[in-house]
Formats: sequence, C-alpha cells, structure tokens
Amino acid sequence: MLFGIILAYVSVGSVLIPLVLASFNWQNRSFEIRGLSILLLTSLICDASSMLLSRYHINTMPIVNFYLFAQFVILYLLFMRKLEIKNFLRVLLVLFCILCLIDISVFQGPYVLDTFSHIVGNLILMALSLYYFYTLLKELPTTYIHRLPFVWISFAALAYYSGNFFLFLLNNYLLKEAGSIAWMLHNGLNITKNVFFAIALWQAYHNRKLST
Amino acid sequence: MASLSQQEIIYLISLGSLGMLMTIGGLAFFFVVYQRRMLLFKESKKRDDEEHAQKMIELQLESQEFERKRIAADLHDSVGSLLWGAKLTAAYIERTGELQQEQKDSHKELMEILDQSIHVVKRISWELTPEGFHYSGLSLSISSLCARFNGHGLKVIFIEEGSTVLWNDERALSSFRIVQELVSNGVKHAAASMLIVRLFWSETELMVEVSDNGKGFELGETRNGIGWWNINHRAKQLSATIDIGEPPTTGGSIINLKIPLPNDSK
Repeated sequence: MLFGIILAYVSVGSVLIPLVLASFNWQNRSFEIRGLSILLLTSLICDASSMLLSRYHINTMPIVNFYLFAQFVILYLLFMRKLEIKNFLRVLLVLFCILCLIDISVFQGPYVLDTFSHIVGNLILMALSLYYFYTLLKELPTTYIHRLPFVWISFAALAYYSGNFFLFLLNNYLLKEAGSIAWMLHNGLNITKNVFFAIALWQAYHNRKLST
Repeated sequence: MASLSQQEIIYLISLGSLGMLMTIGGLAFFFVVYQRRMLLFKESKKRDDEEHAQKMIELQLESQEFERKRIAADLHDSVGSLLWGAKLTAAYIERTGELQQEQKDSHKELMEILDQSIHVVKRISWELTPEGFHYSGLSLSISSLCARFNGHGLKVIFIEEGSTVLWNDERALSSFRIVQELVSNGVKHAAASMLIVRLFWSETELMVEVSDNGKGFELGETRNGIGWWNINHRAKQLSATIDIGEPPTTGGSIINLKIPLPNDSK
C-alpha cells in the first residue's frame, strides 16, 4: 500500500519536471508549447486541489472529470492544428462535447468517473495520434524525427490513452476488484506521459537554442 | 486490492509491464521505420537529382551542338556567300576594266584577302560542325582535324590502329568534340612542336591517346575552364575515363581516353 501512496505522490509531482522545462520555453510562442504549458498547469492545479479536498473527505470526482475533459480538449486542439482534416475534427469535437454534456447531466453525473465519455475520448485521441504518426511517415517532414516536440506529445497521448483504455476494460470487465491496483497503473501511465511531455519541452527548448 | 489473489496481482503487474514495454518498443519501432523511410527517400532524391543534373548537362551539350551548327550554317551561308560574291565582283572588275599597275596590285591584294577570308570562314565553320561528319565518321574527321592543325611549326600526327569502323552517331560526335578540345588545348597552351593523336580500336572500346612534347602541366592543378568542363561532362555522358599523365619522354603531356563502344558501332 505504501508503494501505491509513494507512486501517487510521484505521479502528482512528475508534472513539475515538464513545468520547469515549460518555464524555459517562456519565449517560445508556438501553439503547441503554449497549449502544453496550459495543460501542465491545469494538471498541477487539479491534482493539488484533489489532494486538498480528499483530506477533508470531499468527493474529488468533479475535479477529475473536469481535468480529464480539459486534457482531452487541449490535446485535441493541438492535434487539430497539426492535422489536415480540420472540418471533420471540428464536427467531432462538437459531437464529443454534446456527448460529455449528456453523460454528465443525464447518465453518470459529476460525482462519479464519467467512464463512458472518457472511453470515447481515449479512442479519439488514440486514433488522432496514430493518424499523426501515419502522416509523419507519409510526409517525412524532417531528418531527425526525435527533434519534433509534437512527436513526443503524440507518444505521450498514445501511451497514456491506450493504457487508460486497457485499464478501463480491466476495471469494468476483467477484474472488478482491481480498483486500487488500476489506479497504481494509472499513476504509472501519468508519470510516463509527463516524462514524454518533458522530452517534448526539452526538444522545443533545444531547437530554439539551435536556431538562435 | 485485498480481495485480489496473489496470482491476479502478478498477472496485473505483468500486463502493466508488458504494456510499458510495448510502448517503448512501439516508440523504437516508429523511429526505425521513420529513419528507414527517410533514408530511402533521400537515396531516391539523390538519384533523381543526379539524373536531373545529367539531363541538364545533356541538354546543355545538345544546345551547344545546336548553336555550333547554327553559327556554322550562318557563317557558311551568309558570310561565306558574301565573300564569294565579293570575289566574283572583284574578278569581274579585273576582266572588264583597264587597270593600271598600281590598281592591279591592289586588286591582287584584295583577291588574296578574300581568299584568306573564305578559307578562315570555311575553317571556323568546319571546326564548329565538321562537314559531313555523318558520312566520314570519327576517324576521318579526327584525321582531317590533325591535317588542319598541321604546319606553322607544329607537326600533328594521326595514327590509327585496330579494326577501324565507321562510327558516326551522336556519341561519336561527342568523342570527336573531346579530341578536338584536347588537340586545340595542346596547340594553344602546350607550346609543342609535335602532337600525336592515336586511336586504338578494340572490340569493346576505343582508346584515344593525345600526347605532345610541349611544356606539360601540373597534375594536381585544378582544371575548371569551359574546355575542361565540356571534356569532363562529355566523357561522363559517354561513360568514358580520362587519364592525364606525363609521357615517358622528357617534358610534354599525355592524355588517355577510353570510350566504351556501343554494340551497333562494332
């Protein structure tokens, strides 16, 4: 159990590494770096508020639901900037927002984890990151692919959302009692995601230094 | 977690680890696939660029040949005709008029100048496009070229060995241009008294050797004049090799050219 608690704290703290790197990129005004910085800041605020509320035994699910929705929207907008199928993505975003609204107001409500809308969000972002990798392989935009910050953001999205999708299936269909261990695995995924975000921000900083 | 059996926990941790490994593996796999595709793309682009450059050179040489033909035709048809016309008129004046001795001398001088001019126009015109190259072929054209440079303190010798063939296509013309440039370089810069052009015909290739007894040149010297540019690109176009060296005798230079022969010229 102690390992689980340590992992939870590490997971919350792991957001600080990319945030520090985001501060290095203060002068980088690109959309992807700004979006990522906002996402990290949202993550820090939501995690800190959740920890604070849980001390007073207040349900933190509304914050979790809000954070997962905000994370989806920010990453979705970043992908929308990168991909050519903009009109289709606009329609899909509107449909997803309607779905979330129905889920939160009619079916599951804000006080439980809105698994239905989150699973749809997971699938969408997994598809978008795979599509982005496909366009990279088709267009070959640069010789050194690892220097593209968005490649790392995409990896983060793919690893995190595919892992979450697996956890959802595990928790709901395979092992009904896997609750706490599923959260531990989720924390592991969150750390992985933040590490990839940190690499993305480091690459953005490195690229800016190279260009100046 | 308490209700999960030990086996189930191991099962979950194994699955989680497998998932992580698959993520890292996927990442590495993507990088490898991307780099391979990038490498293939670069190779194909390099090939395309080379082909494009080769095409550009061929076009440049083609247009050079076209221009030579046009200038040669213009020289022959307009300047040449005008000079012939002037010569005929001058001859007519001599026939019809009673000329005094002084006028006769001037007339003679005029006729000589006109003859020289006609000769020069013919020579330039021939050098630009050898008259009847397609009838006489490479060997005869080189032989004529050597004969034209012969004289004025320079002896140009043409030697031919092996089974001579009538080679008169575009490749033959390119080969002729290379020899023409080498001979012309030898005449202009070598300060030689003897220049030898040797042709060795074999089944598969033609070896050309241009040697002189002049002052020679530095082997390491960079040759980037238009003449050498033409020689190098024509040689590349013909898949020929050029070797530059000193002859075994003292001084001078020797240039060897190996041109692969097309099947139909054998």
